Amino acid sequence: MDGEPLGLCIRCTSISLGFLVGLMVLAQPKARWFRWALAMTVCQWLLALAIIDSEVLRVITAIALGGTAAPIVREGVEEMFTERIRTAHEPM
Amino acid sequence: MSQCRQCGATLPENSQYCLQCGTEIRDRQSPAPPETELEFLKPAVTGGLLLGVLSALPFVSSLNIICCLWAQVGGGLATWFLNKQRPGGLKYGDGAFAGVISGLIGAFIATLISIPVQLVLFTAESYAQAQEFLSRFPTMNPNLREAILQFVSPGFSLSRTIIGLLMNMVLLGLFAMAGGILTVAIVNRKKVD
Repeated sequence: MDGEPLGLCIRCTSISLGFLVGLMVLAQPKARWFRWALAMTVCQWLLALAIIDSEVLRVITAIALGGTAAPIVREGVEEMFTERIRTAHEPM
Repeated sequence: MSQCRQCGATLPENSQYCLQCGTEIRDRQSPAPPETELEFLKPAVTGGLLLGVLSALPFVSSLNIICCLWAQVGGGLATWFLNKQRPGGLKYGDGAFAGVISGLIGAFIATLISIPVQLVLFTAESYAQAQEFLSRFPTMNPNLREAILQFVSPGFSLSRTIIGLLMNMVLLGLFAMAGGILTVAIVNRKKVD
């Protein structure tokens, strides 16, 4: 960026960006989409090892992975806190 | 009043069978079987042990640069074991809780293992190398230089260990939590879609 190399590889940067966007758009968690994005990322990684490493593919699959993971993680964190708070306030 | 799912006929209350086609009616009003109480500690200790050891070993721990890989694997393992207690019935929050606990346990284990590792890696020689490296930056703030040199001081350092523990708790806890949640999304195909 600006002539300097990033501290992260393009895949990790794209996952982080996708995650950030996924958090901001407040989409409903879709586990199926996440599984597809994960499978595509693994396929892209294998493709990069075996045949061709395309940065465009890296970015697309990583953004999809980060974007689909974000709503799931957000829901998990919310559930954990609400569940723990509810458990803590339950009469013994 | 409800309808038969097979033929669409209207059914009287509490029907066991459809009067038109004879299909057995499963009572949707019957209470669901009680959910088994989840035991978090054992799966979390297993996941924490794995992620703590792998995050502390030199060279192996370098894979943590991939989104804290070992932390996510440890949180995922804890959730995977948790899933065996209630197959297909985990919520994202359960995975998050198992992941957080395994991350915190892993942070303590990683810090404990790092103590002998410090004694091996942080030698007088490595300290001299760090001094030589920092001398290439004459404009560096002397306080910062002192702090860095103190951090790489030879042998065991309590401050380094405490800072390492706090950083491990935050990073491993967060990423193990993410690993736990995402593992629920992977293993729990029916419930969460």
